[in-house]
Amino acid sequence: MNHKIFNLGLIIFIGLVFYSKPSFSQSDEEQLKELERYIETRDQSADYNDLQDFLILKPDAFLDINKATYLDFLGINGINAECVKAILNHRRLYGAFVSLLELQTIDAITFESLQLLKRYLTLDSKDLYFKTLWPILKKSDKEIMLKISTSRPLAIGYMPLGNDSVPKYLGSPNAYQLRFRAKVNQNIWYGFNAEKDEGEDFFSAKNRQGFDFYSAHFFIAKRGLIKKIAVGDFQANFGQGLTMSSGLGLGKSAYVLNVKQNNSGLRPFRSFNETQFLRGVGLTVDLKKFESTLFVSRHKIDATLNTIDRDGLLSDGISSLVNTGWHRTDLEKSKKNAVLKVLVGHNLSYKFKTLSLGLVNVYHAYDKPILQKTKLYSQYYFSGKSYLKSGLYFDYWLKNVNFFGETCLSSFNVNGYLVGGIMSLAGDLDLVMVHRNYSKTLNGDGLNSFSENSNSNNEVGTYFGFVFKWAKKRTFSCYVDRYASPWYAFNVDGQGRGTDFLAEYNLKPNKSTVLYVRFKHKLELENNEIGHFNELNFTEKYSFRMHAEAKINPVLSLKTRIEFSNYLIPKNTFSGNMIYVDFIYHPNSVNFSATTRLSFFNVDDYSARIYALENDVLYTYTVVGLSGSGAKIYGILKYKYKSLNLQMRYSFIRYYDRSTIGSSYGTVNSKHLHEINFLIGYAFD
Amino acid sequence: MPTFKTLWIAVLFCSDAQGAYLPSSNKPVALGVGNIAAFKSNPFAANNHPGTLAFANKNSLSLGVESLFLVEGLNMACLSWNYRLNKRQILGLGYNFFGHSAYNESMAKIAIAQKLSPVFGAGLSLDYFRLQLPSENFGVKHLLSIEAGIYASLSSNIDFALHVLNPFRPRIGEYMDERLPFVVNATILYKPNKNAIIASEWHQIMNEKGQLRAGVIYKVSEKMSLRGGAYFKPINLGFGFTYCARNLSVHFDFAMHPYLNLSSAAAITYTSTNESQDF
Repeated sequence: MNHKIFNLGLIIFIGLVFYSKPSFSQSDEEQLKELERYIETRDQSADYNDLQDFLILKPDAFLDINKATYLDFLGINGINAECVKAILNHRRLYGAFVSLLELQTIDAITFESLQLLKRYLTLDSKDLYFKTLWPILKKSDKEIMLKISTSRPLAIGYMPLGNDSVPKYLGSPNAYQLRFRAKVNQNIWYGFNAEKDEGEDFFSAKNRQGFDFYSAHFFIAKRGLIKKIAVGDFQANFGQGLTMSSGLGLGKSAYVLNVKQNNSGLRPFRSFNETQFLRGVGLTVDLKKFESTLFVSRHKIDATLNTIDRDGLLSDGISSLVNTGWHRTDLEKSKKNAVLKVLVGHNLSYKFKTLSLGLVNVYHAYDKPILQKTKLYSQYYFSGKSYLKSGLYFDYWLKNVNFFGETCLSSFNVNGYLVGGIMSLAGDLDLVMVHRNYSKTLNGDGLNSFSENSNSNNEVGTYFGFVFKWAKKRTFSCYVDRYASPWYAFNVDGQGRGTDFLAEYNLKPNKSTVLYVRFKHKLELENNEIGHFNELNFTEKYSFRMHAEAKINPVLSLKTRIEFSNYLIPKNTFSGNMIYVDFIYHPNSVNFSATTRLSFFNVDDYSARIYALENDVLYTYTVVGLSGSGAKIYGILKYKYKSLNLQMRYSFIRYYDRSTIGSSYGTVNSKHLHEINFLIGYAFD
Repeated sequence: MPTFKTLWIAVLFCSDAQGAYLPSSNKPVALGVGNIAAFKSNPFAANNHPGTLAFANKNSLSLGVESLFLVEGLNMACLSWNYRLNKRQILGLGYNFFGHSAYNESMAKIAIAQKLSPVFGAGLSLDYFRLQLPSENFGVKHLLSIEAGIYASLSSNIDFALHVLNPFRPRIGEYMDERLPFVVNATILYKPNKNAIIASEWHQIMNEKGQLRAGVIYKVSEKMSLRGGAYFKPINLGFGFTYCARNLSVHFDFAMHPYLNLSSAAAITYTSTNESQDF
């Protein structure tokens, strides 16, 4: 975003701030729990704010409980057919719902289903009516917040090293996030984000625009011919994410049944993820049974540029796309906004009774050619400046069975398909099966379909899962996923294959207590230790977790977890364990809450690392992969006074098996690390 | 009197096998139940688990002795006093002694525990540690450390306990930066019925291999309870029993180490009232 747009945004933003009345929305513990179950089995740390939006922000999914149809209800991820039938039966027998709390009286609705339904259902579906924009903007709920983070001791990147007289990191060790969000009912969202990561420069000679990253969005969703309008930064997800899906997608998780991507087209982008979003305009038109979406995105992205010798010809191009979002050193800054990316897409969908069909076309173009065929496994990656992808997807309900799928074709001969079905049997047992076949040439941007790897390509696999519930208190979930990679893949110099298994027994003896045990096992072929070409060995990773949470008095909750992990390679085994205890103090009468976690971990090696989601200040979620031997404690204080929201998080980690923390310029020459986050927010109308 | 070398080898074995410095494993009643001390009924809670101390429902005085592996000189003694300050707070005093005149470790503890709700209690202990080795090599060391523990009933039949020892790892000696170990014990307890409790504990010394422990206590009658348990790698089996006669209880425990032979412990507890103590 250039300087003028930024200044204009700032002026609008400041103007809005002065039209204010108090009100504030806050994320709760339930959202955190749900997010954790989605992301905890992923072996990666990332900015999950956008994924949270993906789960909770459904611009067109707000349903009137007294008008919603069978299919409307089924569109809610996690709600099965038996549950929907029970709601419709209740409505038929007792008439219209007078409160959403009535849902609690329906036996078939579990506590989790109730939480989901409450999120998407309403009793008042009156649509926003407006003639001019200004009254709407005045009417909106707005919040502005600033988050400041820092850590000590400082990493070596902040100090002069060797013969260098200046530090490698250009900026200070403080990170800043400025966020402005506003919304009007479930119809209009607009906002503005600005971020500077730790180590990045801020209003310096090399960065006169101040923050390192800016994002702004304006989004309207309403009933009528014009259904959605997106201006600025937004996300676009269609079908099963095989052809077009920006942002982070859902994959395998402890929600065994939630493998289907209920993509809802356009939605606003509100996170600080610096790479996975679209910037431009989008429009969705509702033509009753047909719905048409057109979107255009144009923005610069980070990339490593290189000159590559291809068949004797030297050519400049993109050797890799960079998605870290770090711009702390001169080298990292040299990759910033190195490539212009243009994306034009169109989606046409058709709904008839229980059948939905969709056709999506996306054209990707770069101002420099992509030259990624530097490794054996990347030989079939796309290379060139532009390509067109087309996908056809469907969603069909046949009684209690939901079939879904998508296939994708492209101008550079990519192809792949995914088909799946979710079946609800008598309310107690739900089954799910997904088969996918992604060719080795299927790659590029906008792939978030169900897969084992982060890239949906070079994979053939079948996933089978079931959830069995009994006595309303007990749930047993299980999945098995068998997959193979026909072509070479990263760290797999040959034809790879593997099996992923998860089993969880969940017990809820009462409303405030949750207990579960989980076993996860993964067996797959990887390169052997020595790295001999084409010598693959099976590696095995399994983990066992015991988790409990309970309310121990009206204001204090306790959450505890013990987890063991093992990573087995030929002739070696690495093991680890982690114990944590959370205390959550939340008195009902005051606007104050405190959370603290004590965690202890002993993990032999990074390969056996144990992931845990840590609570943080508002809109921040940290997934940490714990390895080594150490202890960590963090505490969060949250205080709300009228419209003012103050939050602080302090964390301290101490290692017993090492004298340095981190790597490269981020290395800290110490056994311990202190981190502090401070957030100040203000809400107004 | 055994030679110092014999004793020292035995001490090293014990430290490795028991997974902690010896005074910490001085648990006469826990010996028979896989070294798990996280029971509300443990009369030595002031010495072994400040979290469970919060649930001690009567004043008590306990004296215990323990003999490790039938080796002369590897004897331990401990004294524990639980005093109820009021309905929710308990004061605990504990003293442990291990060794003989040439080498010995002793620890004095003062603990305060509070029941924060009917299902949750927490305790904190301040420990004074004295270590004596032959003076030409080591001398006498005095250290202060802390312990903390919690005990929570998560549901009607599932409890959880956590015990953290020496989180600040006080330094014992300059050589090799020797310190008291940071130890974490996490315990899950399951009560299948009102007369039985099954416990499983993960015992972890930071930067060392952890140890799994398991045990069961069964109340045969109001006067008699039996217990058995094991800890693993190497597997060490134990059993014991408690007999209550009015205000007096006696406890006998035995444990068999696969390489180091039999250990035994005996203890006696005097309580102010004879009302029954929950598991």
